Amino acid sequence: MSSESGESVTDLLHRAQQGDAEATDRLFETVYGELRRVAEGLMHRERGDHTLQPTALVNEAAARLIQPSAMDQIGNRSQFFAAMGRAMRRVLVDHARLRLRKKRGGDQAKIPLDETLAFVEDQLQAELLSLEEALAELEAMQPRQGRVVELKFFAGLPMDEIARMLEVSVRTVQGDWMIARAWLRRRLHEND
Amino acid sequence: MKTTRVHPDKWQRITELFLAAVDLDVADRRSMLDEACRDDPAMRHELEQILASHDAEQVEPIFQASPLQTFVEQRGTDELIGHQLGTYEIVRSLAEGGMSRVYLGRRTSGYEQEVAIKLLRPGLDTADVLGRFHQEIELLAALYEHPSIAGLYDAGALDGRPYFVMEYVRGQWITKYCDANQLALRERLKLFAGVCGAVAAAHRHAIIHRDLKPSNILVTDEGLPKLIDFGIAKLQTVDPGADSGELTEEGSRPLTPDYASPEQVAGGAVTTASDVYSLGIVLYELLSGCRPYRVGSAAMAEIVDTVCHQTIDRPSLALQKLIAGDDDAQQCAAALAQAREQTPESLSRALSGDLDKIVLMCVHKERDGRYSSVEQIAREIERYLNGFPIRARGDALGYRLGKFVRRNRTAVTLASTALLALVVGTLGTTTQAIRASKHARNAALEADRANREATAARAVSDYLARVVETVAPYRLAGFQIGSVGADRVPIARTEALAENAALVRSDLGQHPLVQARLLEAIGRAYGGLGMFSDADPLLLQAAQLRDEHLPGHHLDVANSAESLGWVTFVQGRFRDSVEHWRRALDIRQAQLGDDHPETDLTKFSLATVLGFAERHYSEADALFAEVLQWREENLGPDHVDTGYALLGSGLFRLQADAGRPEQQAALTMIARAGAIFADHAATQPIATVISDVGQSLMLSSLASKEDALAAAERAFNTARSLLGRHHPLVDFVGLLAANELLRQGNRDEAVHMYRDALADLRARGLENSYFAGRNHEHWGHASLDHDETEQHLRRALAIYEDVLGHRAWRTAWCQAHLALTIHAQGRSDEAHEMLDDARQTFLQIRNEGRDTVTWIDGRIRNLQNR
Repeated sequence: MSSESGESVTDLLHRAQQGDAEATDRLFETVYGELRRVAEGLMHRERGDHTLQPTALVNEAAARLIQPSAMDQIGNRSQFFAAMGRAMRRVLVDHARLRLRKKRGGDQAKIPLDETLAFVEDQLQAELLSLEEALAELEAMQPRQGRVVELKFFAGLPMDEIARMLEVSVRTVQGDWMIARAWLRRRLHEND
Repeated sequence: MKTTRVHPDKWQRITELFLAAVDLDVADRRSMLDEACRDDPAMRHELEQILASHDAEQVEPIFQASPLQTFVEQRGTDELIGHQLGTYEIVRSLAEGGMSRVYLGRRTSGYEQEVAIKLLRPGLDTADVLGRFHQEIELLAALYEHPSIAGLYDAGALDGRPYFVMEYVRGQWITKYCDANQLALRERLKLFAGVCGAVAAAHRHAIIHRDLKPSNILVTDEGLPKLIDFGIAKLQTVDPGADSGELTEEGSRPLTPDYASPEQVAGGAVTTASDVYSLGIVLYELLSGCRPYRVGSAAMAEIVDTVCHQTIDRPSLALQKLIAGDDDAQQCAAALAQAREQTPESLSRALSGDLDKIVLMCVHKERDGRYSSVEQIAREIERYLNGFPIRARGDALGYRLGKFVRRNRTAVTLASTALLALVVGTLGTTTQAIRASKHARNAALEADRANREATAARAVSDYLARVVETVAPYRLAGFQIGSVGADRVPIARTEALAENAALVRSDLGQHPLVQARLLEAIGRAYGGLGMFSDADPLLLQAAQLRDEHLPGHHLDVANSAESLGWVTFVQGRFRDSVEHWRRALDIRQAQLGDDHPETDLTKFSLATVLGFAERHYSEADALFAEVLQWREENLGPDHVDTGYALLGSGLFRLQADAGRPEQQAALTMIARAGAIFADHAATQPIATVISDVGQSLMLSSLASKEDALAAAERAFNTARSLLGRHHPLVDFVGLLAANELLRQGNRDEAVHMYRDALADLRARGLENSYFAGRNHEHWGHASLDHDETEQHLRRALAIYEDVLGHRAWRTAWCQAHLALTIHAQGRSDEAHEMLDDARQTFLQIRNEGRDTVTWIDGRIRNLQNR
């Protein structure tokens, strides 16, 4: 499976795993680009098309970027999901901002990325942009805790993988995740 | 409490302390924090907040698996994603429950629609689980009709697994919706009243929600509140042990202790009162932005202690505490207030008083201390929004009515009109209806006796039957003015009345008492239609027959006197009314005693005419007090007749106490009456008219002229549509509306109304009636042209002289105004003479408040100084 620049995502993953910073950046760009393309494709698809509409954005992107066999080859999915996590965060934030502008502009047409956004916001019981704002504050106080949220919440990595990536103990990651969640939750729902 | 970003070093310290404290139990956490934060209360506060948030996250996590992973995994593991279920396609998983999984679905044919699909998990198809699942379906089906309850669309089974399809509500939590849209308190209350309506509907179907909280009360983009998640709600049966008829269920613990009632956390019986409590906590939060307490996932013992025993601050106090708190607290208060378009101080003021009381009554620890139903909360809010006093106030007359007290001379005139309307409205009350049917029954008994005694027996029965047939469809058997005007009754019916009257007069001479009874019934029917010229002779003849054939203390003599009292009263012949009613009261007191509804009714009538028309204040005051006390004790404080007594007493006192501190008490009474009428509006539409009349008057004294006019016009329109145009009550209310227009400076429209009313009265042969006089009088006030004013006042005066007599209050009042007009035209001698004469009348009327005499003396002085 190749990105448009011709680079294999699997290659990028291998290189990123070996600590290649440039490969990590490129992986992110690739994943982000693919997510956006899928999102835009969905946006422009006709409303009557039921075969793809219910399929969520990320499913599409993940399926197109990486095949189960490739996944098995890598063995360690962390780099991919890390990039996916950050890309996911950015796509969603971009989309939430777009939605806000549309709302202000009076354009209420629904677009498929709403589905994914709604899913996240359902879980959070809060607006994604509020989370983004809070997350930025958390990163300013303790960057590693922000990174843990990205890897855990957006990418869904297991604790040990996150610990390996960040080169800290699993216990530290667990502590970071615990206080980050508590703090963000309070930040999101302080008036509840 | 607003969080603020802290310095990274400080945050590092907070992280360490948090991790050290997080696994300790409540007591150890406390002592650890005592120790570690001895010199830093702000940090301690921060830590406490984060720990509480951590605890909440453990119970109901919002940071679960990543959306990405969930999507990928669902695609791989949940074969139902993309599956077609009937006309719906399963899009994704929304939530997991113990028994079932909820999916988002989308309609694939016809119109586009999102739905929620709840599907029983595989392998759970035991009879018990299936039973519960079907119960939830039944429950939703029962509530389907309500727009504010997520509806059930479809149900079925997939490979033996039952599922149901319901409305998918895309909305915000009610609290967030209100804040995001910066809704003011009134808007919030209206929205909340809608929520109460939905919960009340569920209660009517014997369904208790049991988990009401902001996340289960969503508001759509269109602003419609939607109740969701009846997952732990139960269909209830009435507990045979509870005579209150409350719904009970022994109770499984709620999911969210922050909104749960004391009985829920203590494991007691869960009733509709538990929903009242939860709604109270939601209201607390909606209004003040604060929560009375946060128990989150505290230990069970602590939850029970807090919810069951901790005193709840009134909402305004909670806000006050924020205002008086540290910077963070103040910032928080400012944000809360801003979301309600207020300053923190003004918000606290707005909450203190009625709103505090409403909320606290909802969240009373004891079920019996709360509103008896969710519907009561909705009504209470309605009362609050309409400016009526709330029930939660009880009878405390320390009621802060300062806002109402605005000395207002014109209120006196208005009160008079409204009082008159009130009395006319009274004629249609329950008591009258009961009396009417009793009356008919007595007539039948008497006819029966006559049947045995007389040869004309057959004829009597026929007449009776025909009379009843004539009037029954319109419930006019008694003197029921609260029925319809003559223009609403088919001519054939009024002709039948005339026919009957003629037959009764010509054929029943041998049975004078039967004849009297029938004449009276027909006379009352005419009176009820406003056809006074037809009513008068029949009622008089009936009275004469009884005087001739019955002893003077007979109750039927009192009945005749009462009828004559009414018919003269609505024609403005107040002196005559007083005389008739005094006679009726004497007989009834002697025969029936004071503790009897008929005696009570006569007292009310007499109090009204004495207080309003004849201005015999002290006697009227005593009578009103007796009536009010009797009705409160015998009919109850919420009975519609108690409402009439309150309104009567209130309006009377407003007039008698104008400008004195006692006016507050008067306004309280009027407002209480309004609340009662509002409660009875559905069953007694005429009560809405009376209620609007009272409201108009209150608003008018609040100087809220536009609202006062709106209420008066509403009353007029309702009365007209209920009763037709040709009806005394409509005449009175129309006069009220026109006067209100005049007060607003809208002379043209006011004059238009006076002219219309006079044309209508003329068409009914009432051009010389009291109403006609009133319309001329006010038209005179409205006119800017001296000649025209004089012309109308003279016309009014002539009518008053004829109907009321020379030494009557209204006659003198009209005379005084005419004198001023005459003086303005330069005829000062004539004016002085007239004013002196009016002054004599005022002085002669017993117990007249000094107001009018003072006023007229001022006018006389002014004239003399010129």
